[in-house]
Amino acid sequence: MLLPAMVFVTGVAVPAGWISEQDLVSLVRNPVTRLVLVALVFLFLFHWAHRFRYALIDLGLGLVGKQGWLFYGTALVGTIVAGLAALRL
Amino acid sequence: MTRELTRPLPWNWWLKKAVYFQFMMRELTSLAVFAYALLIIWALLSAADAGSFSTFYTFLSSSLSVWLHLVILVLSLYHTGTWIALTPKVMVLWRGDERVDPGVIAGANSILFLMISGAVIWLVLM
Amino acid sequence: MSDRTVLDVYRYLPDNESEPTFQSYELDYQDNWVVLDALNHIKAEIDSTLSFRWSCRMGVCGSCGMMVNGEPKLTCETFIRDYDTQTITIEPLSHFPVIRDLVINMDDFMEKLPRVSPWLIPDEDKPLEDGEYLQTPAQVAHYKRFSMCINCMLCYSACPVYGLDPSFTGPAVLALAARYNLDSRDDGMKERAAEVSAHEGIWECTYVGECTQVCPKDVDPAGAIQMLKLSYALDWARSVVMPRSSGS
Repeated sequence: MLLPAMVFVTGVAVPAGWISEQDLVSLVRNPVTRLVLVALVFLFLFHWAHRFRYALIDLGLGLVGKQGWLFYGTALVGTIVAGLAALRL
Repeated sequence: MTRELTRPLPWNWWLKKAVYFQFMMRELTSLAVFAYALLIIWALLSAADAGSFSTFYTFLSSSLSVWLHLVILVLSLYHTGTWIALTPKVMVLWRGDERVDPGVIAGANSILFLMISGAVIWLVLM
Repeated sequence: MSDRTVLDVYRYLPDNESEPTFQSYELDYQDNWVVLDALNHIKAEIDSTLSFRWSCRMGVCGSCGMMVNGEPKLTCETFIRDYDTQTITIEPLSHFPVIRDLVINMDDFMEKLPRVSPWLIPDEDKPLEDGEYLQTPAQVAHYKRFSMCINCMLCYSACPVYGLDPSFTGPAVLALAARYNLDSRDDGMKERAAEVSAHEGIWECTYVGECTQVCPKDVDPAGAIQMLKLSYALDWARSVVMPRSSGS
């Protein structure tokens, strides 16, 4: 739900100069934003993991797809990295 | 006992019918979601000091970034669009003995999506 | 008024050859003929060795499912006049083993049907003296659509997940489970969980949606499965947050 809007922000608003580097960095460092961003990373990565895993199975790459840990593990690692990064800001 | 014939599905089954192809494309758009999650992680990591954030910000302004974002935007819009179209199947609402029209549910979710998107963009740019 | 058409029919005669072939039959057809009429004409007048299943010839028994130009159809409801191709290709229903010609082995489907306990499972048995179960039209409406299945298996032919993995429980059987879960007289959702909310059950479905597209009775098995996913997921969440003290 939130993805297209976010893509618009970083993909259009930034290059167009509608938000300055200073404003963006303080926005990212804001504790509420940090919480939201980590939540988004969690949701995006696990959503990807689940869909992509089944897509691989449907493509006949079941041997890779059945290794659930590969996908959910990646998602978990990514979430932890995001969480740690957000904590030290 | 005469032999039965099994006919396994060919590897390119999803290329044989338009609907199957669209399905596979819908699933593969999840890669766009993955790519953007990586971008967010980069943003969080680089916000720790001004130098690395500058690199990140400069990248965002580059034409490579704009092209990547365009691709991701198209894919994520398709992803979100197909997702919203599926919501009536899961959210079944009843009024007496008649189902609320699926179009109403999809429409309501679409409006919700537009409102949330607008709110996000507005919040960020303010 | 009659026209001419050519039916390209899949033949598999395991007693004679180990490989399937196609046999072309050119014939006159009436404007009101369905594919099944043509097949019966072939068997009666041209080639009595052709084998295929059919029964009611009016779209309620589910026997005559076959692939017509690559799409799963009930041949008793598929009109020849609707096809503008030179030849119409007839093949046995996809994703099932072929016994002979257009006859497929449906044992897998038959074995799966009873696994979801497709009967009413009330919490307490109601004695006969208490009279019949009453249902409002609204209560019937909740499950009615999923009760219209004629077990024709076209949905299994359309489903690529089943094609890739025959251990997938499949659309029709899961829709049947939904029919009972949603029936107000039934309390058997938990009992069905082992078969329905299993990896080879609803969770293997990736919502391609073709099952619903090909269903001749508008059952919408895809919708049934997504509803089952939501209800079993909520049920699991509830059991985690508020574990029930009694096991029921």
